[in-house]
Amino acid sequence: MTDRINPVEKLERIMEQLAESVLELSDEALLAEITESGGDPQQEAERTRSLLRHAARPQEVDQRLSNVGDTTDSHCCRTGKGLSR
Amino acid sequence: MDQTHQPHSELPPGEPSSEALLSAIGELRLAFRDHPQLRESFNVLVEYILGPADQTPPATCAAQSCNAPTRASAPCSDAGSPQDAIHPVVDNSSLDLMEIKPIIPNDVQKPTVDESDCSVNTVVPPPLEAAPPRWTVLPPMDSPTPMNGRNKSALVIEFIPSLSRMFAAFLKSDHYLVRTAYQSEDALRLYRDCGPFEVVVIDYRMPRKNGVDIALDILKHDPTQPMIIIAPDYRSEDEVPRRNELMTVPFLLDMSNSRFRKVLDKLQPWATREEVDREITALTTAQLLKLRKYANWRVCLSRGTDHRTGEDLLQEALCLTFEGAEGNGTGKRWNKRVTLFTYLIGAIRNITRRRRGDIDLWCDIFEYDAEGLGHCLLDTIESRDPAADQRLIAKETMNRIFGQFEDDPEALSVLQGWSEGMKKKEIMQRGLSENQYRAAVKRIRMTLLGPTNGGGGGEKYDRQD
Repeated sequence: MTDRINPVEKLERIMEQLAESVLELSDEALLAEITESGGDPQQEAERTRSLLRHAARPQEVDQRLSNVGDTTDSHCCRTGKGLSR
Repeated sequence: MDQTHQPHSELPPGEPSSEALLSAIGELRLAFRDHPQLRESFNVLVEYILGPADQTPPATCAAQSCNAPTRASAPCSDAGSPQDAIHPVVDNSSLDLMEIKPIIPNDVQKPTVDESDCSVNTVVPPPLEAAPPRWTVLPPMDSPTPMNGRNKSALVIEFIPSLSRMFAAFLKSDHYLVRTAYQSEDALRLYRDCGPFEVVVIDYRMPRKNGVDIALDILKHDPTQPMIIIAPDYRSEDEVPRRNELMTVPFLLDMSNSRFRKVLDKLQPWATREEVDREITALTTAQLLKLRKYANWRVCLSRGTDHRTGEDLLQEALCLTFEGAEGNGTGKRWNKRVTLFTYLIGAIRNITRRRRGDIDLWCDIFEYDAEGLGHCLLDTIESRDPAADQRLIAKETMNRIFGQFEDDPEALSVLQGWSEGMKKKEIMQRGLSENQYRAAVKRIRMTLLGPTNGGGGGEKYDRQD
């Protein structure tokens, strides 16, 4: 029965469980785990905070880009439409 | 005769007929006979649902309009009898109130066109050139399930089906996904299963359990749950018995459209950019790390074909907060009842869950036209099954992951259980203690994470091609 489940779905289940397992960790356990894996918790946290701040102020990014005469269109970027060879 | 011309014979079991709906409206009109203010409010509601009287085509003509799909074609009913108790009104495309084709008796709304061809209780086929349907008076609704995350949700607890439909219509027109319950017990069960909601609308006069009691029960589950209690029997809030038990809950006595919207807007204040900014500053180190790791693992669910990273996903989740506020209102906004951390986790989860069902085939295959514009060859292909190459990649990845734990039977058991969709308890029944399970999960995380990935997690398996 389980063999009929495609491997993509199996892999997704594993990744989903791994993601949810992160939420079950205590703060201390999480910090310890990151330190153990060679990372710097403070540095990682600040990088994430900076990432969120940038996302919260997209107009600033647009403003800066418009100052250099460019505009953003994520759809074009992703699909390749509008790209010249 | 065309199938769509026989709505009554096609109604699923339990579906109240249009006659029953109108009968309920008639009863309510009688009940409001001595209350001019209530009667007027009720008329506004009826007009909102059925359209203004001067636009109303003859009853049976409207009932037989061939332009709109019949409710019978819907996959499930949203308007069963009160005994049906619970029936989510989720899919607007098939269950929308605006698609209902009611029959209006003469005493409700006077026909304005030729009555000779359209007697009240006679079912006749519609004219080919039918008048515009009356439901166009309502604003057009966007899809309730946009690709950008969870939509606003509402629970309507109302024992009168026709009123329940009216409230649902109000909420749907404001882009809410609406669930309805006809009995207090079912309402509480539904709340436990699907709550919290952006708003819960409760009729004060619920038969078995008073609206106030239901509200108090709900507040036991979530003290911050926004609610509106409808109490049209009273002229002022002071008259409503037990009003003081729910001082933070607005009681709506005037059921007019504008009043209802006003109360709704007050319940759901937008989060400003400054507030979001403040919350970002207030996030703790552990919360930030959890968000990052969570996004990194969840992004793997996009099947690794769209080049997204955990960072992209995290930013996308945050952007949804503003999309609803500044766009057309269909985005998922942070309603401040939960912390920003909880909101972002939920947004990430919902984005990836929604995206899982979609195969992004546009990946790398482009053709270029004479003007040098690139077009993806696979843009128009729709599929719900993973492509063969994705299966192959996933299989190889699975083999590689399992291969890393050949010497670790506990981790292997956990991975096997996860891949088969088993929960923690089921996996532990295979002979693992709580500590063994946790240790195994940690080993899996650490191994897949890699020593050089410093808190990333999942990036190794983000893209396997």
